[in-house]
Amino acid sequence: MTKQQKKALSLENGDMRYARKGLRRVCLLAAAVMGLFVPLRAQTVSGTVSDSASGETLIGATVLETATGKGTVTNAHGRYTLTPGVKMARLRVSYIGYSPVDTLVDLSHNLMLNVKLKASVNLKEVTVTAQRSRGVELSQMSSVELPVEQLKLVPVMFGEADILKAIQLLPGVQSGGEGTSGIYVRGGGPDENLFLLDGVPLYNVNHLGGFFSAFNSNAVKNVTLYKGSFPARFSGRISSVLDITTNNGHDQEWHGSASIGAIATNISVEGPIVKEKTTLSASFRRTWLDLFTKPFVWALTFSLPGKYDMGYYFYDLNAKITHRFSERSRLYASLYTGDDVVYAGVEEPSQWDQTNARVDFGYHWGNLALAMRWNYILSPQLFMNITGSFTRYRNNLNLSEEMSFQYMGVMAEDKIEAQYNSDIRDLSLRCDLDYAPAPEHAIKFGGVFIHHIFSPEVMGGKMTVNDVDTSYVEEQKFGGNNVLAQEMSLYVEDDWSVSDALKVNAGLVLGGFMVEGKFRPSLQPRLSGRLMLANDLSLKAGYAYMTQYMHLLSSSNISLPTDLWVPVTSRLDPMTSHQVAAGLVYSRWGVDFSVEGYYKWMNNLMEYRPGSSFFGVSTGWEDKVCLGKGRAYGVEFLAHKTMGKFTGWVGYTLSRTLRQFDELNEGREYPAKYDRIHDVSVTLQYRPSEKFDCGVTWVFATGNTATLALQEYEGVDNGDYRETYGYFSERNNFRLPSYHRTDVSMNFHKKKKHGVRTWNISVYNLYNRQNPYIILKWDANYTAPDGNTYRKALMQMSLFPIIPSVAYIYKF
Amino acid sequence: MKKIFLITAAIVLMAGCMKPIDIDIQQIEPKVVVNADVMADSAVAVRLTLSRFFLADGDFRQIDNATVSLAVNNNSPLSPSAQIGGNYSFSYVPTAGDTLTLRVSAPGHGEVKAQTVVPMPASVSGFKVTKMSDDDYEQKLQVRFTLNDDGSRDDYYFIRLWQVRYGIDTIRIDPENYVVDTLHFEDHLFFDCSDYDIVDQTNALALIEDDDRPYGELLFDDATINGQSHEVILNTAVYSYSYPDSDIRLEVITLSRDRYLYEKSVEAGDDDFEIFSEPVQIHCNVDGGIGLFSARTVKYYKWSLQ
Repeated sequence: MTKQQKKALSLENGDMRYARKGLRRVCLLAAAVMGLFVPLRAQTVSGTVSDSASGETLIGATVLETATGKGTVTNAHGRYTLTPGVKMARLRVSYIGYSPVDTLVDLSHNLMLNVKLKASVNLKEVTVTAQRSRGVELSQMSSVELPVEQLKLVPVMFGEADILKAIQLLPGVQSGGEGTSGIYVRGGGPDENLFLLDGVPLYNVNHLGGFFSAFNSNAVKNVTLYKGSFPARFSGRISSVLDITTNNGHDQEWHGSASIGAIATNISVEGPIVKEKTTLSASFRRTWLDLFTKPFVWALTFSLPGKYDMGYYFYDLNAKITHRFSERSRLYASLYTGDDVVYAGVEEPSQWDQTNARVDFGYHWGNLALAMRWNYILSPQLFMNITGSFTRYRNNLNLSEEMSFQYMGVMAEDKIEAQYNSDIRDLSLRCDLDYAPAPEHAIKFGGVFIHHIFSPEVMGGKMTVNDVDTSYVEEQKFGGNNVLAQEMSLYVEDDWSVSDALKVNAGLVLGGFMVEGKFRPSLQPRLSGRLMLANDLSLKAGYAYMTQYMHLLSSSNISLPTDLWVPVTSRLDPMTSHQVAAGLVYSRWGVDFSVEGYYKWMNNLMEYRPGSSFFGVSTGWEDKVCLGKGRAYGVEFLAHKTMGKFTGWVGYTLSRTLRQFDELNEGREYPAKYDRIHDVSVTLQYRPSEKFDCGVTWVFATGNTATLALQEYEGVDNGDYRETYGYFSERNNFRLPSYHRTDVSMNFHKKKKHGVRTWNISVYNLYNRQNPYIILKWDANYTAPDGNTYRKALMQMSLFPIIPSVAYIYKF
Repeated sequence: MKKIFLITAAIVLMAGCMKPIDIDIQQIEPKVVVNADVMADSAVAVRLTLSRFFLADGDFRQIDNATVSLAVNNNSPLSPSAQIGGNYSFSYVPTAGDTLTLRVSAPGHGEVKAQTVVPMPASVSGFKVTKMSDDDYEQKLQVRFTLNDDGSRDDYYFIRLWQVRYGIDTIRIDPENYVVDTLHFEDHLFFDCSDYDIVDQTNALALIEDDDRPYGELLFDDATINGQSHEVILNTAVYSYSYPDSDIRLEVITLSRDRYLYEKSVEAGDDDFEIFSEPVQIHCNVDGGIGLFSARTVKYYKWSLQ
């Protein structure tokens, strides 16, 4: 055992030393009331599993008593609790990419055992052990846990590893398409995904139209995606949960990295403020696209009169301070802030009597998230986490036009300003408790309270006129009424090992939402189970009922950061979904094979009414939307290898996604915009040595649907003319060409005096596939397949051709 | 502002690539298009054309060899009394309350059918125009009238204001000839209306559109005024310096339900921010084809400016 382990063992806790009688009684009473009380029968071993070098806690590490086969995994805080029911326990603690630790412990009384795992230097050490694969073992289904180190090996564009882009390569998860934001999970919309960054929800997780996510991979420690069978501790969205945990920071020495890519700079530092007590982890990233575009703007405008300026950039900052008060008490303070900024301006020279004119346009959007978390070990069986947080998503659009001119010798000035603002702010408090009363039970329970402040659309205009004969200021404002809402939920779930073969995760969420004086309760049952059919084969099934109390008003034509987050109101009901899923997981040769089928029913989905958009907002969004139903079904196949020189996954999804709105498509069911029947992704990484690694990705997806009037007809007589109208047989009647591309990347690592430098060479869209971004009717000669020639054509515009890039990364 | 968008678009286009998308044209069969807007107390005229592939140019092909019939109140079908190209005329003059059924069989196409009911005229009382101000530049007028809605049926209203000038020689251009018109000239008047029982508030784009009087017409159903007597107030203005010899004409039109839905769909589709807007299918009511077979009943009220 290492010194740290011995030290941890020396902290062996007396039975009552850590007990806080009052709180414990409350918790036990709560468990008893919920019918889940199980008397204590054996002693418990508990503690944290962390990286031996950095002290970083490891999430999802396995702790297994090898003789009985009883085991558990560490939670989001690296914490585990196991009551194996034996006096002398042989524990094996393992984690992907780390050498496992075996130890024999005496469990004649409760024991705290903190385990530090050593990252495997020799890749051969990372072998497949005889123990069951986690994928086969867990009762949880429809979830994927991706090691961050593996995510970082997925080919990247411009040297920027991106978590969301890697997540989009998993079966059941789709991107909105090139240049569009959002992910679409099992037929759900982009607003139906709960993105949790250290437990704090973020509302818009995209930069640059979805090309980069708000999650800086340098700051991230663990990523888990839930597509269905949601554990009861998650609620608030109906389609997926992406649970992201950031690094705590190295507790022994300072480390960091700096990278310069084709469009962005990324700097990360982590280290101890007070050794083994207080750590800091911070990452900052900023693009310099605005510098790139300046020559283009100059080239396009140098022959024009006036001065032109325009640009775009985004930045994000992650910072986290962790303080360890004692072995049982830790405090975390974290900050995330990120913004996208678009700006443009024109200054025109004099024309006739006009002496100056200037037009400015500015648009920015982004998130701010602040969180304080406190972990406390109430007893060896009871772990508590309390989180208080503030999160805000906003988008602001400003436009101004200023003119000053001389008229009859008098200087006159006119200015017109317009703004469009929208934001959502949340204040939340949540308490989560993990309770392990017996070897067969791992109970989680707790509650969440969120105070939402919605300002969905505020539009204003101001006109200032100082002319020769008149002078006035006119101001108008539409919207601006905040909508306040309170969301709350209580949950309990039990991961119950009924027998060696059967494991069940049953949970219940009691949720509620208060808005406009109306309380909307919900009872959301969750159930999933695993039945071992053989040592390496399990059958899983699950059901989840989810409720979502907020919507994103999104145009079906284009996804923009201007999409509005709005709450349910007294007129609009919450979204709900029922999802059933069943599948098989088989593990062999270090590869987890899974096949899952799912069927999902969704109610109260929201769409804009025909002809509506987020412009023209004078009367509020409730008048512009309608509610409808949706259903999605499909089969997902995944082969996932996380260990060895070759890693990666192959995924395939066969699915349909349909919508039915009484006010759309004459009430008939129609395919959703992102109804992609086939979706394939192949992601392979090869890491033969510490000096080199490479990766390749290939994706294929059936094209999105679009509403396209393929016929035109003559309208009714309007007196002196007849309008020509387009005719489409039904909504989303046209399918765009399929989407596919290949990306490759190579990393060359070299040890330097103070660290490791890496050259990253990557090629996005290797074979230069022109994937559709938007389609337009265009004046161009077009010869159709039937030989007829037309003076117009339906053109597709693609955004990203083949893009090679180089990035330099230095880690110290 | 336009320049900024053009430059942005140019950068995007430079960065992107464009190529044509092949469309399986064989799958797109032209459809029979029926257009007929029947007016009470006027003869029925029907126009038949074929829809065309959306990339094609030129005039729409008229259907001049169709078999067309019109049945009134489920009686024996009538045949057209005249036909020029795709325009078919019937001698029958419908009255309010008539149910008209149109059937069209065109060679190579299945039978198409459409039905409409000629709406009952609006019941209007208390029509009054008041001069609110009068200066050298313009006269401000207030038009008031009361709609006495019949609660036993659904009504769809369409209201317009005109200034009708007399004794003015002018030239009206019709598609083929220049015609000297010495009778009158009609100016469509815009007006303010802040009656939120009947005004579609989502149409109030005054801030964006540089237009002091956003309404050229009012289109509404009787959902909020069903069975009530509802006074409507419209504020408008006419130029003072010219045409003193003219009338203000109020048109109160009742529409068939399909015509109302058609007008609403046209209004919804008429969006300056089309790329951001949800697609709109213009309302059709022709089974087996495309187009609109609708009806209206018009009542006029005049007030002399003098």
